[in-house]
Amino acid sequence: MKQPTIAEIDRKEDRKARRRSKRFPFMLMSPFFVLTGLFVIVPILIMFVMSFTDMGLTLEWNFIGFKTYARLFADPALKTIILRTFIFVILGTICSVLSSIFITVITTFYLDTIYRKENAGIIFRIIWLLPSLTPSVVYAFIWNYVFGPTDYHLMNIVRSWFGLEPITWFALYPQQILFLAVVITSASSSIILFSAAVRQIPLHIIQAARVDGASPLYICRKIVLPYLRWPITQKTLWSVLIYFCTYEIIFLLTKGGPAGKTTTFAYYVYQNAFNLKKFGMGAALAVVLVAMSALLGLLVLRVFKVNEQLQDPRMDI
Amino acid sequence: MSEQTKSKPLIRLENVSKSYDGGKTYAIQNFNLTINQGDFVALLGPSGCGKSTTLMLLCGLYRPTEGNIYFGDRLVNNVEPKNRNIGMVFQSYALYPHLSVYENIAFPIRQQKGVPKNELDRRVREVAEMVKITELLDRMPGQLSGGQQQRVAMCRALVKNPNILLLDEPMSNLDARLKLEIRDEIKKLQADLGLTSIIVTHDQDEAMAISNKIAVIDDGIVQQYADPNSLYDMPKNLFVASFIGSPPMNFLEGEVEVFGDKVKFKNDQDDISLPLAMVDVDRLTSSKVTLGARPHHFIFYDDQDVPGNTVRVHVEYVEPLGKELLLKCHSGTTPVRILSPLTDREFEGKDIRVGLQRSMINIFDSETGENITIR
Repeated sequence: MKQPTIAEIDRKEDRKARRRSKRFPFMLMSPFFVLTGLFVIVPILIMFVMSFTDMGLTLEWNFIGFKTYARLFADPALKTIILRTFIFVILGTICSVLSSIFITVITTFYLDTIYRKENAGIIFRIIWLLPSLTPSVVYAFIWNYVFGPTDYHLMNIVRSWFGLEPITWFALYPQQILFLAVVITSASSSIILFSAAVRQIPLHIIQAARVDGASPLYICRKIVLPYLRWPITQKTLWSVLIYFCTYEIIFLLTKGGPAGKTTTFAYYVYQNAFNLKKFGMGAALAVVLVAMSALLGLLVLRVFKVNEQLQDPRMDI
Repeated sequence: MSEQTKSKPLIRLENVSKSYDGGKTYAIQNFNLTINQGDFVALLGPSGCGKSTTLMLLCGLYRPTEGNIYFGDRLVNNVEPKNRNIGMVFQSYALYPHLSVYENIAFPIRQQKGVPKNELDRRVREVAEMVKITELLDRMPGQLSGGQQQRVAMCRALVKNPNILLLDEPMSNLDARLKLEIRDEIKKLQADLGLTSIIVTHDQDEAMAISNKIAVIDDGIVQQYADPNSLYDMPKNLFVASFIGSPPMNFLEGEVEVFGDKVKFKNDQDDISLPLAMVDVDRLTSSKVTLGARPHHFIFYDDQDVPGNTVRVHVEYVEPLGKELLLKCHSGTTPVRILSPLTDREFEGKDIRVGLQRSMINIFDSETGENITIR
């Protein structure tokens, strides 16, 4: 047999090495692929298929085409729920993003950078982090204690100081309380992101602005906020998607009540699928939920001109 | 010299100290400096010597822990940066990344209330023209090269017609050729505008070239404050002597004895006699002295004809610098660098005797480090 030349051996080795180096990243990522595929992709596909059945307690795959969707949109209650959900998502996103910008600017920019009170800023931020660090069951328990109906719950104790009768907060203001609880958690989690962005601003730039005679408010508007553009985009998108899916805090605080006043779309999905065991209907509703949140998400990307932001050379010196 | 008598002090630092940790350590201590109207002063020193702190104190971003800072007759210790009317160029240029070049330059004017739009536009264009960046006004800072960013930073500092221009290592991020170019431009601008300027630098060539006065700083203390030539010829102490000049000054340790009207410098290697009038013997704290001689202050002799008063050195190797030769030698264990005119003579590996231009050398007290030469 003819011996292969050195050039041939080299070429062969090279091919082998190249193949190996191409495979290697996929090998590293394989646990991710397997887990995501098994627990995310496959369930999504199953759910999508399920939405074309009228699967109930018996778990039978009985295909009925688009009938579930027809039934779903015929439901007059759904319109109210969708409207309520959109108000909740849009208002919640705006409130949580604005409040976290406000808190970040106060703690990280004013306290840390301008007044050099780093410790005060850190303490304030840690306190603000607590809501998002608290497990939601504990968090809901606290809110239940604060707004509970008896004489011994916090807000009623406060009322008693002014000689007022205890009231049933959750019956009177269910939407407001729920909204507050959700916005505070969400605002609290974004403060980390925003603070990090503010801290990334080179100190020299702020010093230069101060030498140039700019007031802290002006620096905030012209220098700090532009630096926050990218995190604000991220946070807004994230908030929109999260608010669409919020259900556990509703479940823990109001169970969608009273009289369905706090039933958002996600909670409606949950009720249909798991309380009423209408799995086919639940799946169809979930598909609608995904479609709605995707639509609003795309709108956010458009409003914030994400394409432009990604193309921009983001100068970090 | 006539300049100095005409001009009045514009900036005075009186016993200024600055501590960042409540008095445990000081970045600068008992700092005294007077800067006259129209001066271009360089604060020169190794990193961490307190020169940037001094600049921060001048621009008002930091407050002095002790001492007073005056602009003219006005005490400015607690005056906000914006009320000091200073222009500042930062080492990183610190351009506002989300504003165009035009808006960057307009930024300081926008802070002055009630400047009409056409006046603002006129001033921005005027200063842009002066620094030759008119064609860059629409760009964003991220699209500019380092040199262009530097110019924009200059424009932003100059546009508000400041009384004082502060430059914090403005050229340390530029390549060598651009550095020379910008250096000339800054010097010309400063002279044209008659603007009192202070530059912080660790580059002694830059300081020598650009400024008319240099404050050499080490350990938070002004070691010497003088014009470049006297700094070079008569360094006040060993630190200044070793810091200024490249290749650096050579130092030979030894002892002195007085013989009549001569002073004899002596160590294991050599004997050199100097006129008594040259050395302030009263200031000697011991007989130990250090003789300092710059690399080009040596005299070469033919091998046969070597007079006394020479230093014997062993030449290790020769570095051709183009216009001259740099001999890397040893005198005993002390390294000595000598510049020689171009010659065919073989130096490498040889022991040679070189003379000293005695009128140019400096004698330092080894204990105190002070220069005790009399000129």
